[in-house]
Amino acid sequence: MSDLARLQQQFVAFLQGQQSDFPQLIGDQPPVATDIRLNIYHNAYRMRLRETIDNDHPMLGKYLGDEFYDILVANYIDTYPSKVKSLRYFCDAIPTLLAEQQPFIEHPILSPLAAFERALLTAFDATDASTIGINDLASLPGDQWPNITLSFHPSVSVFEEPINAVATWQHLKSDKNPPAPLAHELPLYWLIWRTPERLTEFRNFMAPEMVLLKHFVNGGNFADGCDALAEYLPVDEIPQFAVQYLQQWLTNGLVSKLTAH
Amino acid sequence: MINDHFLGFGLGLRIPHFEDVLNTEHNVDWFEILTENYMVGGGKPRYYLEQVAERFPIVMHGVSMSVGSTTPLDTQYLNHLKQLINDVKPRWISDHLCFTQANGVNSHDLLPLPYTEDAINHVAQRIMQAQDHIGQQMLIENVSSYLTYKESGMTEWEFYNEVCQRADCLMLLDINNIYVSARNHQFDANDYINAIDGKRVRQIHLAGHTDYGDYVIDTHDHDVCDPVWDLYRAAVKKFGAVSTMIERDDDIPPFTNLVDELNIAKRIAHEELPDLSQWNKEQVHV
Ligand SMILES: [Fe+2]
Repeated sequence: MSDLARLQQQFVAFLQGQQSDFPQLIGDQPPVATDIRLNIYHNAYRMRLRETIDNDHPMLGKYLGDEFYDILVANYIDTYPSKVKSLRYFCDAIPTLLAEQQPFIEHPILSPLAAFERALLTAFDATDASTIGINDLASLPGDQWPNITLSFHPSVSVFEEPINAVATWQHLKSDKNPPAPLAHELPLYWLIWRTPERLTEFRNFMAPEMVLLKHFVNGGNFADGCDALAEYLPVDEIPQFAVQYLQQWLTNGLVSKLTAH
Repeated sequence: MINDHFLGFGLGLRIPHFEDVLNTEHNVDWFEILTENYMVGGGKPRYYLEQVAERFPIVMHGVSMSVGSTTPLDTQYLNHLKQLINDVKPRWISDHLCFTQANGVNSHDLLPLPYTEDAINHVAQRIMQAQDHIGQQMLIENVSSYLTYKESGMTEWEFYNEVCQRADCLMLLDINNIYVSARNHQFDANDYINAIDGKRVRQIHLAGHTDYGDYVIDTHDHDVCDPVWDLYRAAVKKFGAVSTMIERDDDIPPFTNLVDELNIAKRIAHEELPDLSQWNKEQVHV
């Protein structure tokens, strides 16, 4: 290994708080002690990563309170050092850490709360695409309905919560005390998307709408989608509900493309 | 003589200022964006950038190419960069004379290199590779530093000049970084400016820092201080008209405050360069 490579490895190991010979490479420049010089870098490294967590996870921070938040930040920086060039992705493993490390693992609300915050961020800067409106549906000849497929705006995602994470997030967001954590018997589903005005939105939706949406996301057509709903709805009411869901998506600006085959 | 690359006086484009940049009258000539912040698919940042780019020249400033690293250049990053260059069509792009990662870990900091012949060879080679990959010349910026290495055998400015000459790249001279490093390493900032190869200087950064007495930290959260304005004057005397901007990244004041601060730079440049009154920014937009 070249001297330059070794120096760089030692510098980064030092930033991470690992044992390293790095201090021996530093020139003595009084009156500022080498320790102080080194600490400027060490502190800057941790501060920058901490600010990234602050920015990405304000509600998680509020929920945890200072003491637990400090533990999270310290553990996260040590366990998941940044492997990415953009800080945009640095916090991606926060939900994982919260689900696997003490003391956080004792509080099953934490990981979904963090995952919801990340899902909102993902929608915020997802790729752009144009969307179509309800009029594009009106002009569709009736005999083409069974074969239509849909493409959704890249910001559209489904957040599945096993516990009241979104309600907790909403309370924290409006500076109210969060409700007690309450696991759901069956998961709740949230639809997240970015509006044409570039605002991130979400709403709760029920299993049939979620199933139909996922069916379209996977490339399925309208007729097969209706079949998939038979498990959830009386057969004679299916087409009416399916059309309603579709209209709602178009009105919300979720659909980029409707293809009649 | 004002050269063709002179864009006038600019600011770093910051999120809280998006609306002011687009919807208020101001005399800012151009904007610099932080490359990595726009390496996302879409949404608000890209939307505003598109609008700003329609009306003002844009330059791109990266923080993570890590031209000094000893691991292979990240071609995925360079491909993203190329894509963004294609979308944004900046006047030029820049990154820093430093390394940012090792052991697969990104420090998200601009870490100083040792000033050695080995490092010059290595970094110049990498800058050339990067320039080849993106198909254009880059600007390389001097960073602030808080330590020096025992093995360094030359001054920072000798190192900087030599790297840029061998790589045939351009310079983004950060006057505040020169000041910060001069204070931290007790050299004369004027020696630095006097030694710089003027024909390579394409852009100037100005910024504020935090002064701890014995040392200074480059925080970009204060106004530009008087000694840095004095150095800027010296730089203008030496280099002539160079596209100049203020970087502000923290404690971001209202847009109009930064415009006022930028007008100080403008005034200094006009005092030192009578030719500048002939310059008209419409020339740039053509
Ligand atoms: Fe700079």
